[in-house]
Amino acid sequence: MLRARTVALALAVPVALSGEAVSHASAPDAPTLPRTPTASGDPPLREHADDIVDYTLRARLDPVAHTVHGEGSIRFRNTSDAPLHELWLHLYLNAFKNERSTFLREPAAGFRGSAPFTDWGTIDLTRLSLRRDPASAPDDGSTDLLPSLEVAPTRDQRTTDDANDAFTRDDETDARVRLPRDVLPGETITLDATWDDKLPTVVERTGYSGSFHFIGQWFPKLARVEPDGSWAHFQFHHLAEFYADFGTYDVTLDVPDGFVIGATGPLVEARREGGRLIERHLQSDIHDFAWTAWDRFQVRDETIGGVAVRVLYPEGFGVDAEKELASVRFALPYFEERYGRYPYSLLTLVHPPEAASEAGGMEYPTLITTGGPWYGTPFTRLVELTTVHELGHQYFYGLLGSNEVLWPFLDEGVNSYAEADALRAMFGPGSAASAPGLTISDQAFQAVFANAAEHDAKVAQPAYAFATGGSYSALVYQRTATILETLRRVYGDDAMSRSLGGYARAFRFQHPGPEDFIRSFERGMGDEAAAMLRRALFDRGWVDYSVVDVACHPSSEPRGIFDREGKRETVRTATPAPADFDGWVLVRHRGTLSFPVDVELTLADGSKRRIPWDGRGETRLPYHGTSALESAVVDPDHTVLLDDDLTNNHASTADAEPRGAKHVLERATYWAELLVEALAP
Amino acid sequence: MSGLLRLRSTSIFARRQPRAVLALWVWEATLGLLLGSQVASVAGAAYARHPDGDLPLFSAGGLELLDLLRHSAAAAGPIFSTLVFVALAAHFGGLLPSAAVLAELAFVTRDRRAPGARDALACALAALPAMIAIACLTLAVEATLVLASAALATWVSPAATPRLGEALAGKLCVAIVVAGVVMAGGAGIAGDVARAAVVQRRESAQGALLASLAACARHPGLLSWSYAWRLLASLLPVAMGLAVTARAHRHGALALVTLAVLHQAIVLSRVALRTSWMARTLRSLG
Repeated sequence: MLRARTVALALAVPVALSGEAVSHASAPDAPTLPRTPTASGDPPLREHADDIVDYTLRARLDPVAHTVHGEGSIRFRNTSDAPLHELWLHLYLNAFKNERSTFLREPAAGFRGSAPFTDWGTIDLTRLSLRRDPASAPDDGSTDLLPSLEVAPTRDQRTTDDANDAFTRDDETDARVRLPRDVLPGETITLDATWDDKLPTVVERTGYSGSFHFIGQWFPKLARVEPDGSWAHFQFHHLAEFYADFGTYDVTLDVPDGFVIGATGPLVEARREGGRLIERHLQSDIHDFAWTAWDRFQVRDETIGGVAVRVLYPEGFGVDAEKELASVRFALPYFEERYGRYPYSLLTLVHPPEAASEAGGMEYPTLITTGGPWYGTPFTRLVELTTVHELGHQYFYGLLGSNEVLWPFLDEGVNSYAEADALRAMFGPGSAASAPGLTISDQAFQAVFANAAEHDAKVAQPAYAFATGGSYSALVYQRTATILETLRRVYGDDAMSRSLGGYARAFRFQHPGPEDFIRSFERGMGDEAAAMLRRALFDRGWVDYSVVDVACHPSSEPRGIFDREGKRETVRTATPAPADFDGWVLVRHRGTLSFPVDVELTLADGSKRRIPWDGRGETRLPYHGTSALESAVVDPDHTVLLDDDLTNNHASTADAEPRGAKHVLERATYWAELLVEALAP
Repeated sequence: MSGLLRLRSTSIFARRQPRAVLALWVWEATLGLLLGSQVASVAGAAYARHPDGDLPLFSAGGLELLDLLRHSAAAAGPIFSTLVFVALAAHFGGLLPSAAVLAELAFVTRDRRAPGARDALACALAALPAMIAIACLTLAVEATLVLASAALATWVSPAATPRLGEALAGKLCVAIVVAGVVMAGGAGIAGDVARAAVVQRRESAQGALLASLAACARHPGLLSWSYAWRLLASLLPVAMGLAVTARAHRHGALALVTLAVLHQAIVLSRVALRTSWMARTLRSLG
């Protein structure tokens, strides 16, 4: 919406302080002005989202009662093709209201949100009225919608059966508002609302711990209208995240003086008044708004690539804050190069205290939460991994606003690939852990967890369809990342850049679905790659390569009856050919996915030879050479990270001497000796 | 055994008994090999016929290693059982060789030579019941001190966090646990001296503990320092070994043998320091 954007740009000026100066607040630049040109040859990036829903909100935090009083307006434009006769509002704090909520009844343990919380959370709408655009409905006054608000009116969009219904029927997170008159296509309405939040103790990304407050999903939020006029509304499911229209958020936050605020969008106005700190944050082209307030935050500011980066962290967590900044210094330009310019002027990183770690590891537009203990997890990249992952979500969630409930692989999965790719570039093979003599890569971790779950369920399915948090994590996060990393390794970096980079650029500020994603790979990598991608995502595609057998013998003239130069000859004795060998390697492909791979032959003279294989079926690859064939390895470079079992990727001839496990024996014995010494009397 | 003479304290040194050091190393290497060979058999089953043997398991990124761990989950149970056996053998079974080493250090034959293996073992067997009693008591005291300090830290943490913040409170908890570990170390020193008394003076467990407490009371600082510098010195070769291993990029038989020699030299040097500590406990008894 042009008006909102103009206002946003006009207000994004150096902080206008009225009253006492606020020392910790700085004034970032205008929120949405383009800062850097796109790479030459790339199609121009979309500068702004289609402004559909604008929120002008005001929130007052009581950090003792842990409540937020909110009021404001929601201006919505019907951009669908159909008239709307109802609205759907998400009241997600009610997920923590009682044990009848879908969130608490869904038996999907094994992921975040499973830790018990000790104080309930609610959101209560106390006023909801409708104003129509005077231009389209000059005679309409304000209409009270509260009487027509139906909390828990019916099941949500998921296709439920009776068993599932038992978990969802009493939920109060999805509310319908019947409208007195349809909202026509193109028409704009404004909802005025007042509500009260009672925050829970920190659970599933939101809540309080002592005086620390992280406040997400805190306002009545309009569900997204699809182009056909249907509402994409969902209850708050245990494993699911969010989906909303883009718009402008103009939010004024009111907290006790002495608290430090971190929020979505740049600060455009701050003042102290009556012992309170009041900050106004304004950001367009986003689809959510979260904030935090704590009286013990430490602050570090740095400008990285023109973006004002602020880290809020607890006292004594400076090691983590530095790691987080270092991660952003590397990953932000890395992501910009691959997925396009970061379009916002600021990025806030919130490192919650450990007692509120459930608030960590989450993404909101221009604000991410990280995590990690005060001692900085030596030998592992936990802090960096979390930071880079959440930063990646600024693209795969923030700028590409896919439906996280129905297609979580499009944000969490694709972003897990982006995370591992950036960490690989940043840390090399020790991108997950690095200790003397041992490096573990993020990709290796992802592959092992992903492949262990490959037959459990489909990757591409709604978050609520996963039976456990474990399979959700392994399939949505790790499996998607492993599929994409396999495609990168097989088809190359350029093809990956065309596919995923092209997808990220083409669907910026839009709501792409799985078909948009697969079509991008069709364009960037070809039909075969896209077919594999589809099968891997939708059909539990899997693959296992193995070397079944290797054989070799000295070459010899063939025996039998031969017609040569008009004469018939019978060769009865095999005559060895001088220093020549014949042999074969039997390789086997199992599974529904296939990729071209190399087979590496190791010869008796120590040399190696590679044979390309299309990676299909069971094939006997012939060998002829001057040195005896000893062993073979299929896919020696591990291009197919999806390969279910690497222990069957090699074999040697029956004559070859087994090499044993001498290195393991040596190391294991040494470490066992050290253990014995430690336990000795 | 009855023909053995007790050495004067000033003459008890580990360096005079290289055979004792070697005997302890052989004991530790045997137990190490027992566990190591079981782990290696799992790796060998999967990688013995790889052209590079088990080297891929050490490749950068750890993909093959993690994949093997995933596919060898069934081997975890037997390996864990062996680990428990080795741990028990190291702690309680180790009492016998360590008692024999103490005997080798503490006594000489009438012709001023080191006792033979048979005499040392006889001495050790005689001391074993009291040694076991002291080992159990020491272990109980050490465990109690460590667990008590951990419990104290757990109790202090929520009380200290609001005032100090999580990081400072966390450091305070670490300090409490470290203090508990240091006190457990003190109990360990007393236990070591008591075991020396059992062998050297043929004391009962009770008498040995009293003798140990008297010795510790006489020279608390000296004994602690003697133990501490040996402990720190024994960590040094391990750190050096790690650094060398991390930088060793060569493969092949020679590299493997070099690494094995280096690792065993590290173990041997640590055994030598431990034997030196045993000699020190004997000297402390006067």
